[in-house]
Amino acid sequence: MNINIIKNTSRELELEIEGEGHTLCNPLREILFEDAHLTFAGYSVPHPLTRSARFIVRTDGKVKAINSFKKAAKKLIERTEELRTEFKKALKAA
Amino acid sequence: MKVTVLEQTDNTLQMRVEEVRPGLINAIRRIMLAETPTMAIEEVVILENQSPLFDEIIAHRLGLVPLKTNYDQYVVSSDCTCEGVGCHLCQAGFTMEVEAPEDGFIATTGDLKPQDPEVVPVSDKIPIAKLAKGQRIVIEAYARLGIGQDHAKWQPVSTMAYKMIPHVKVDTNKCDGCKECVEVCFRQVFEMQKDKAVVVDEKNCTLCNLCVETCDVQAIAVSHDENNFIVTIESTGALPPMTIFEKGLDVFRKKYEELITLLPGRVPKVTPKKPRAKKKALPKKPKKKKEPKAPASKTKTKTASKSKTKKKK
Repeated sequence: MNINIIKNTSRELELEIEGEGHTLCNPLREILFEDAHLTFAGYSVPHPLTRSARFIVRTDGKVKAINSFKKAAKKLIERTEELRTEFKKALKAA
Repeated sequence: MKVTVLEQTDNTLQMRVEEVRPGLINAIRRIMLAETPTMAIEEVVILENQSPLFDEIIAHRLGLVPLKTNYDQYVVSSDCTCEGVGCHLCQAGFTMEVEAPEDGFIATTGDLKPQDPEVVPVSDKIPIAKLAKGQRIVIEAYARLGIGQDHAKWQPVSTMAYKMIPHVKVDTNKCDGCKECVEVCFRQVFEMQKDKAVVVDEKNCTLCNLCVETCDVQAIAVSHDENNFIVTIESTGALPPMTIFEKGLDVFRKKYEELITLLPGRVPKVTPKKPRAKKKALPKKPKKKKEPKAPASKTKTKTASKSKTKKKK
């Protein structure tokens, strides 16, 4: 994975993620929607044969866009761990 | 989040996963298909090939043989200290030497002799080449860890699919017992009981809505949950489905950890492990305490009673 930051202001973050596609971006976008300060979040994969994606996050300015992006990634890690504990619990019960 | 195991065999696992966003479950599906590593034969040295098949065909067939994977012993060859040349840390060897004793002899994966007893073909009955009497094949093969994104032979699952949990309802007051829904449904969701259609296998529904369309009196309603899923994992045999799921979660987690570290500015502390450990420890601790206490009181009744009396005093 490699990241090129195209724009990084308090309201907007635009970056290119090399070597990743829908797998990384779609859950991130979904989690970002839960952020109350978010005004826009979206990504596009410019070409299906080149592994890269372009991600844009915009906030209302009360929270830095890059911070809500990081927060979303952190939230996702936490959810994965939650799923893992629930999965282990279910296996024990079965 | 809630997970319940519905069906479990050696190679399949079906579970109900509730209160999860579809994006998360889909990303995990994509990772299990394309980014969870397994072992597969990557390099074949053909020393002798008298079979009617080209060397490439035999090599390709060997590559597609699913192998039991051992994560503890092997590393991905590009990350290995040998820098991808191939050594005992990143590859497992096989040898095969067969000579057909009679016409129509079929060389199978059972003829592959593994160097590592833990990395073996899933089945020894997979055919490789049909030989005439006296034809010989002598081969050396090397298996490496890889991911499904590079080649489908490294896919640990033959199926990893999910569907939203279906809800099928029949309004018995409206149902005129025409039996059309029973006939049209190819998943046998309905059955006729006392001249009324009754839902007998709701879980089997694929949300095709054929029953809703055929019902003339609009007695059937089909809906689904957005955040609840039935997840089916079918392993190739390379790894048990439980391990594939957990390994998939590992790969998923590592992606976001890398993403956070690559971003500029302060790295937020990701410590989901700590609260998880606390949560785990809390229900476990009392259990652990209870277990040793019970046998202790049985075997050392005297000391137990003594300590009790001391406390009372």
